[in-house]
Amino acid sequence: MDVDPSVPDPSLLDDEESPDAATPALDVTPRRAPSTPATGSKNLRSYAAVGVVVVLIAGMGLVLFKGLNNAALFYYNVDEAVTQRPDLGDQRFRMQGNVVDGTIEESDGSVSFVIAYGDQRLNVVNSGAPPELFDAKIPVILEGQFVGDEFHSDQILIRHDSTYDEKNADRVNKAQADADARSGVSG
Amino acid sequence: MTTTKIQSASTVSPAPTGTGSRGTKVLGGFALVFLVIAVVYGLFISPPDAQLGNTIRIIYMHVPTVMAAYLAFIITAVSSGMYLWKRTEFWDLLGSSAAEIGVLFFAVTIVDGALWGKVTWGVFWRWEPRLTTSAVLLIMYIGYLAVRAIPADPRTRATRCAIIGIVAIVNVPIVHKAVDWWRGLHQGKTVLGTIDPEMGGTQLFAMYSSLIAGLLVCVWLLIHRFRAGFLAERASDLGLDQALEERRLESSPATGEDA
Amino acid sequence: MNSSNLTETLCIVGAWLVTFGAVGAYGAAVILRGRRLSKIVPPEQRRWM
Repeated sequence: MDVDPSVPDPSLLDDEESPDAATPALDVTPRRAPSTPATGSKNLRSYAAVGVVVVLIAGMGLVLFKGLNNAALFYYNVDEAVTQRPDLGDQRFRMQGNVVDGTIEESDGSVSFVIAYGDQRLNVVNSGAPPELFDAKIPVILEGQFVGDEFHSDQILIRHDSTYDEKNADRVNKAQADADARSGVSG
Repeated sequence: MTTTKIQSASTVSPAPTGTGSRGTKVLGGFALVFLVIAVVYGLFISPPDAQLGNTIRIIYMHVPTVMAAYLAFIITAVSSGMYLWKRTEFWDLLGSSAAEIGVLFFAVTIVDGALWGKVTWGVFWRWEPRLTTSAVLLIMYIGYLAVRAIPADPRTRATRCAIIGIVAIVNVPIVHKAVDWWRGLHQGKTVLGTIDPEMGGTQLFAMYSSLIAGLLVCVWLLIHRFRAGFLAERASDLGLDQALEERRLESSPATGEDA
Repeated sequence: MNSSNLTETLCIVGAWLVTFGAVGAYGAAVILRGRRLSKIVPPEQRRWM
């Protein structure tokens, strides 16, 4: 049979009678499902996938940088912070300690208390309301800086240990006992 | 001769119409039982924690999902090693299926953890050691899946993935030990540190039933995902025509007269 | 007090919903994909091992 090369093979065209002829064209862009065969432009998919990998590597670099910057020394204990007071100046850092019982004073939009760790105590003024679980005799990490003799923080992070108990009111004192025990070791 | 054999075999047990089998049904049944126990104990029967209050209930999701993710990543690593040795499709499919499930569970773990952090620490996220190493782990396994999505000869793809699958497993012990190695915000290890976590009796029961449920669901998903992956490979062997047909069925189920 | 209790409840319920939702949706997607693929793969190739 003679085939006119200018006319495309009809079998390659959408059947006008077919139910889906009304819809513009069969969408053959690649899907997200990983192991289905590439039905679209293989090159485009290649570039997109390589692009994603590059973005991920860059993202991991960023995470490592952020993480190593912070995670290496996520916080100073109160005694360490006091010792390094001259070096720390007014720079922001995190400080860990236990909230001293009976020192919490809440006022409009701020809370002040004394934090202790090892053999050092420090007055703290935190702007903003403390988190719900904030209480005396619990370990906290504060984010802020020295202002004069006080520590001014704007975020209180509550630390928890991995002991859980159903009903043992004495247990909250364990954090204090731990700190006392550790301060003896770390001095 | 061989054809008759195959035919007789297929009349004995008809070809499955999905990824399910008797095995997955039994496994799924067990998983469901433990899930129900986990829900009942985790959300209702177990009492609030002395310190954490009701937020302790998030641990019954947070720990099982991370353990399921670890299990999946270990399966990926072992399968990756086996692939490089045996070079069979089985190990490639098993490893990649497990990686996908691991990413799912680990992402869920991080979301659960952020929600827990919000109510207990007071913040969703801090770049502290456990969280930072977790972020690296997640990104690395997403990288595994991204590399797998790069069109390539199946053997090349499988080899690339196997290498990543082996390298990335080093993240798991780092994440797990991060709370011991560096100062951070995250509490210490709850399970796998000691045989007996420091928890009350009912809390412990809720924890272990949800942990078993999580691991069973993980294995159940893995079997289904492996079989779906196997079917996808056979479908791609059939060529573009069938793939287009599948696509047609998918986009307009009503017109699937050839199905 | 009320708002923090609300936050607590939202976070607890949210964590459970996220877990069941994500894993359930993934499981459903995998099973449906398996059924769809089973329709186009010849029976003799629908053997896993």
